[in-house]
Amino acid sequence: MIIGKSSKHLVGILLISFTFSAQAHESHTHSAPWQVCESKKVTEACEYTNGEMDIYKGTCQVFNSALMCVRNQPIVHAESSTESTEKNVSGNTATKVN
Amino acid sequence: MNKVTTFAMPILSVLIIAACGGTVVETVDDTTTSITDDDVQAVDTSKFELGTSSSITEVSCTLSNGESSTCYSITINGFPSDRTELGPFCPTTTTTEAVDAGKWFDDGVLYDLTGEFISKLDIFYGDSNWQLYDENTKEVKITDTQTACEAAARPDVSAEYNNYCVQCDISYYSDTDGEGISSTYLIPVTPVQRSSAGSVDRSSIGVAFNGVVLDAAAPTEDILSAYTIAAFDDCVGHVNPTAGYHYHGANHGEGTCPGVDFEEDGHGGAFGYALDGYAIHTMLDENGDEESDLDTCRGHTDDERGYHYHSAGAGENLFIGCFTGETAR
Ligand SMILES: [Zn+2]
Ligand SMILES: [Zn+2]
Repeated sequence: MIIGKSSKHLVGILLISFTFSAQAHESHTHSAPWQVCESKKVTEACEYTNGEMDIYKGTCQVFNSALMCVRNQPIVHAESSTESTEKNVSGNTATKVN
Repeated sequence: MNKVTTFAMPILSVLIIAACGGTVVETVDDTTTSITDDDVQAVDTSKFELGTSSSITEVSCTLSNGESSTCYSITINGFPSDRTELGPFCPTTTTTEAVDAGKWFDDGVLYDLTGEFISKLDIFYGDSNWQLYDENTKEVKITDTQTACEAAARPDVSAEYNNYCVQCDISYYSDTDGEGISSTYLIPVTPVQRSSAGSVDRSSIGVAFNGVVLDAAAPTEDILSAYTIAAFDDCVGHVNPTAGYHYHGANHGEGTCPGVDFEEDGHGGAFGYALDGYAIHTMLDENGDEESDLDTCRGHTDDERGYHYHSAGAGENLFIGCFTGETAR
């Protein structure tokens, strides 16, 4: 089970890594919320995809003198059409690994 | 008559061709938020349940727009009043299970920081330099002294602490059980609208009702570039030498983290106040749905609560995006 999820995550990482290298932003980390705002301005629209292929859409906002993508639209879950999303009772997304 | 403040970041429809990669960049289609006086609710200090050595007093203050105002001066002891201990943070070995370990987040997702997760960081980050454990003993390399934690819990981590799981014990900074590092925050008694949203930048975000500060985004690029993991506990909090115990996300109702009750009408419950005096509610309502009309700061207005924010997800390294109201200087 873990291997399956890891593999799935790895696919996501590879896709994200590919996107970054295609944009010529070199980094050995892949913090997408920061990366997608690297060449944008404050309040400019941004979007990134996590390792589960869920889509996060929002605008770039300033934290610690850098721009980070702040989602203000509901998460578009990759499997939302086929399966209910994992949530706990308190109103937060559940952990996705292990 | 109601004063109507419209704060609108201009609605743009510009297409920019990005210099690298030729990406067509969509631009701002920003939500315009109109807030009337009726939409502004005063801070309700009775919602705070602070621990020992804490206090709330009313003081004169100057807001970020230069105007004089009245603020609550909220002194917290930095330890969550609804818990008796912090952690766990780092897993001790590569076989440590989720129940005995904390969390890490990446790209919006909150992960269990299990021993297995630690052992696969090289795959996760696609970088073979990750090695947070001893190959022979399978023990995770943890900053388990005050010296080590302070050397690693900083932006310029010295090389000897590369490849460490970073955790700091609150007992380094407090001699009293149930207390952490005391700090004081000013929050306007009644929120005052800004003409345009204010950036968080290096500011804290707000204060949780249990007396823990909601901190700005963790600098994950700095942390990861030193091959460190600044481990969180299940509540997405951790200890550093300057802020003490602080949150980087809202995760209620999991593990040792107390839940937040939904409001009577099913709306996500509030768990703290932002430094501009607007309440911060959980991300989801009782049906597990998100609000769909949030502005760029992650706020919106309804008849029951007036203007308020909804926190982002537990793994998003943030609570709100910006301040709609003035903060105190
Ligand atoms: Zn922190
Ligand atoms: Zn709401």
